[in-house]
Amino acid sequence: MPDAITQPGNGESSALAAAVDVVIGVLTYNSADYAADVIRDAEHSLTACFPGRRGVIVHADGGSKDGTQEHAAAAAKDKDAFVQIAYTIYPAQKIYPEWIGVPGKANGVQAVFAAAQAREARACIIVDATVGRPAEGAIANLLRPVLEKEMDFVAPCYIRHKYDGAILNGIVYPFIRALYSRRVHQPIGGDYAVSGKLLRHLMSQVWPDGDSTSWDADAWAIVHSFSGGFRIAEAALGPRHVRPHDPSPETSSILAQALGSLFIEMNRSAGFWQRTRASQAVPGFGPHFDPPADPAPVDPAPMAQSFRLGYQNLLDIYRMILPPATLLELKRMSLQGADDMRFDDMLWARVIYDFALAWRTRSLDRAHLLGALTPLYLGWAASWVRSLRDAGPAEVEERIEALCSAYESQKGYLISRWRWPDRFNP
Amino acid sequence: MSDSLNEMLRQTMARITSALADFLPGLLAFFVILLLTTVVAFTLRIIIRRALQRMAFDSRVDQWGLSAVNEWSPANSPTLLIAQAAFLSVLLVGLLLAVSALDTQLTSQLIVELFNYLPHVAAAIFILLAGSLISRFLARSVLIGAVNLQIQSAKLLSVGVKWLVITLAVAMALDHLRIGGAVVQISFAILFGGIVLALALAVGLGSKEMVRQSWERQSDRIDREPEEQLHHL
Repeated sequence: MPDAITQPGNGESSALAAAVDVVIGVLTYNSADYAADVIRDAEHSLTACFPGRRGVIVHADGGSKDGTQEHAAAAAKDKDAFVQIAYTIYPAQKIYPEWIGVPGKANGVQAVFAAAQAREARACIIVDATVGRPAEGAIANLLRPVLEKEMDFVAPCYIRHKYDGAILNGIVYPFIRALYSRRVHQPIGGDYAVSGKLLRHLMSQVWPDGDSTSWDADAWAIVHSFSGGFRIAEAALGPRHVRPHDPSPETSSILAQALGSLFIEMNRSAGFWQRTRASQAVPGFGPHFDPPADPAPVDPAPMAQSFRLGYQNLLDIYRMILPPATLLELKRMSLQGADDMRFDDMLWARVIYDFALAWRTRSLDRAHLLGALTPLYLGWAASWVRSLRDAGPAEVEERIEALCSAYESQKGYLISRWRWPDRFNP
Repeated sequence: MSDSLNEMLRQTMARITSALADFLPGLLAFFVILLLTTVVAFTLRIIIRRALQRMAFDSRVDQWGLSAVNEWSPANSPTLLIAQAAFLSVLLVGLLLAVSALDTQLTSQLIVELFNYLPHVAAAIFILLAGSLISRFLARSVLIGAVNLQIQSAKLLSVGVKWLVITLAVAMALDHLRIGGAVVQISFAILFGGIVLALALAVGLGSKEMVRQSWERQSDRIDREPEEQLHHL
C-alpha cells in the first residue's frame, strides 16, 4: 500500500483535507499485529460514539517493514475518512532494541498534528499502537472531555494492579505533580487527546528533536499544556492491552528513558515550575472500573540484593551526586535485610531531586547518571513492594498519596539547590 | 729554559683569557635570558590564574563533565594546572633560548634534537591524557552496566577495563617517544594478553550463574525472576 501514503506537506486530496471535527492519529512502527485492530477500534469510535461528527483517521507510520501499512489500510472501511502519512525515524532508533514506544514519536505526532491543523480539527487524539491496543471505548473516552467538556488535554488513566507501573507511581506521577501542581496520574501514558486550541499552540512551539524518545514527546506535550494554562483532565480507560516488548527492556533502560524525558522538560520549564504552589486535582471523566484482582505476590529480596550490590560498587559515583546525610541513610539501608528495609518517602524524593540536579549540572555523564539510579530505584521498589504486600486498593491510593506529599514537601529543597547549586558540594 | 716556560704560561693564560672573553658574554646572555623568561613565566602564570579564577573555570570544567581533570590538577584545581603548564612551557622555551646563547655546537645540536623530539612528546602527552579520560569513562560505563546486570565482579571488570586502556595508552606513548623499542611492544603484548585472560576468567567465573539462568530462561525451564513480576512501566 505504499502508493497510498501521502508524505506530509506533499498535498492530499481535497476531500481528505476538508475540515473535520475529530482527527484520530494512529502511530505505528512494525505494528502489523495491532495496527488493523487499532484502526477498526478508531473507526468504530468515530461512527458509534460520535455519529454526528466528521472525523478522519490519520495513520502515521515510520516506514514499517512488516506490512503494517497494508494491514491498516485493509482494515479501514471508509477510505474517504482514512489517510496514511509517513514520518522520519532515524536509523539509530530503528536498531536500538530497548526503545520503548514508537520510535521518532515527536516526528509522528507532529505529522498528525499538522494534518489535524490543516483540517481545522476541534479535537485530535494520539494513539500509540506500538505500546498496545487501547481498551474498548478508550478512544471515545479520551475524546469526549475535549468535544463535550471543552478540555484541552486529556491524559489516560488506565486501571492497573498495585504492583503495576512502579516507575510511574514512584517517580513520574509524584515528580510531575510536585513540579507542575497538577494531579495527572499517568502523565506520559502514550495516548492522549488535545483540543484544536492546544494543538495550534503546540504547533507553534519548538518541538523535541526527532531522535528523542517516545516519552520525551509525551512529556513535552503535557508540560506545554501545564505551562500554557490549558484545561487538563484525565479519562478512566479501564485495563490496557499491553503489547509484549521483544526483547524485554532492562529496568535501567526503562528508567533512563522515563527520567531523561522528565529531566529534559524540567530543565526547559524551570522558570514555570519554580512558581507553582500546592497541587490541584484535575477533572476526571469516563466510567467507573472495578480495581483488578490482587496480583501474584512479588518477592522484594532480589531487588534489595540489587540495591546492596549497587551501593557497594557505585558509592564513589553516589558521592558525586548525593549529600552526606543521604549517603548515611543509604548505608544504613544497605545493612538491613530485605524484609526490614524501608526507603523513606522523603529520602526517595530527595534522591530523585538530587539526580535531577546532577543531570542539570552535568556532575557526570548523563547516561552514567541515569544508569547509576537503577540500584537505588530497585531498593525503593523492594521497600514499595513490601509496604503494599497486604494493601487493598484504598491503602495503595493512600501510599501513593503519601509519596506524592513527600515529593511536594521536598520541592523547596529542589528549588534552593536548583537556584544555588554551588552552595552544596557533596 | 725559564723564558720558554714563561712564554708557554703566558700563551696558555692568553688562550684561557681569550676563551673566557669569548664565553662570558654568552654566559651573561644565558643568565639574562633565563631571568627574563622566569619573570615572563611568573607574570603569565599570575595573569592566567586570575583570569581563569575570574571566569570560575574550575566550576565550568565540572559543568562540562570534565571533572576527571581535577584529579590530575595540583590542589584539584584545573586553573592551577593550566597556569602551571603555561609557566613551565615558557620556562622551557627560555631555557632553550638561553642555552642557544652559549653558542656552542653541542648546544645547537641539542636544541635541534630537542625541537625535533618535541612533537613526539606532545603526541605522547596527548595520548596519555586521552587514554586516561577514555579509561575512566569506559571503566564507569562497565561498572554501572555490570552492576545493573547484577554481576558480582562488576568492580573487577571495571578495573580490568580501566587498566587495559591505560596499558594501551602507555604503550602507544612509549612507542611515540621511541623508548624501549621492541621490548615495550613485547611486554605490552604479554601484559595485554595476560589482562584479557584474567578478564575472561573473571567474567567466566563471575557470571557463570547469570549465563546458566539466561540459558534456562531461553528454554523456558524456570519462571521469570521475581523482580520481573513487578511491572516497572
